[in-house]
Amino acid sequence: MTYLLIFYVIALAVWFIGILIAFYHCNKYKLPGDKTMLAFWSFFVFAGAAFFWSVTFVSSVNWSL
Amino acid sequence: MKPYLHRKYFESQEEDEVVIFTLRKHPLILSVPLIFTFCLFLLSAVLYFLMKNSALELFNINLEAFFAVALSIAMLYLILIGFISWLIRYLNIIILTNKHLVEIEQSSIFNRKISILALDHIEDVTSETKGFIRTIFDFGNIHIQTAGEVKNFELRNYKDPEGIEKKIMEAKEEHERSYHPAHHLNSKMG
Repeated sequence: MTYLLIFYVIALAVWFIGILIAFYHCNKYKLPGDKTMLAFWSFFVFAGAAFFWSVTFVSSVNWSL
Repeated sequence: MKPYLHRKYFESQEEDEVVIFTLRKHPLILSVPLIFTFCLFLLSAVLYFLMKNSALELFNINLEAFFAVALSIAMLYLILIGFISWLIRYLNIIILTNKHLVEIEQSSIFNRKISILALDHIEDVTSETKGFIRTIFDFGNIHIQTAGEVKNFELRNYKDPEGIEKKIMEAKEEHERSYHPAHHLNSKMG
């Protein structure tokens, strides 16, 4: 179960890197007056909610075999 | 359409270059990854409930934590991949200015190509709306034939291809009138 927890933490870290890459692309390639950053922040709020759901869900289950 | 002045849309944009319009892929094309992600979202939730119960019944061991981690990781990555897939399509843009036609092609997250075509080099523009879905939702391809050895342009899956074709030709004619008045007059007479 420790390995599972380590896997979960690593997967979350890689996921955060993915969020940073998305931010980098939105910020770098936005055009004047377009809605790229708005789209990113909408996604960010949704992704943040999903992250909190994930942590709550994983910690709420029975971890004993 | 309102032209935007003094704001750089691409690196080599000149000071007196005015953007006539910018265009992204058709919303239907943009929404495909989101629909696909949503379907996978539902599928992974269904699989979770099926497998969690069957593992407990079949092997008599509690794999609840394993399935919970699998489901939550799947959900998080689906959200991320869905957004990045949408972003890749969203970052495909065509920019028409009074001097150039710029095509920005984002084929993957780390693969971006910018093609700039001077309006002088445009020979002919044709639009194509092919198939049931494209006709209903009014989107299609625009082929731009270029002069000399300049590579031909093909803009795929943009909304209102006929309108775009018209605007490109209007911009080209306007450009010829402004920068090469004699040439424009000759071509009209010939």
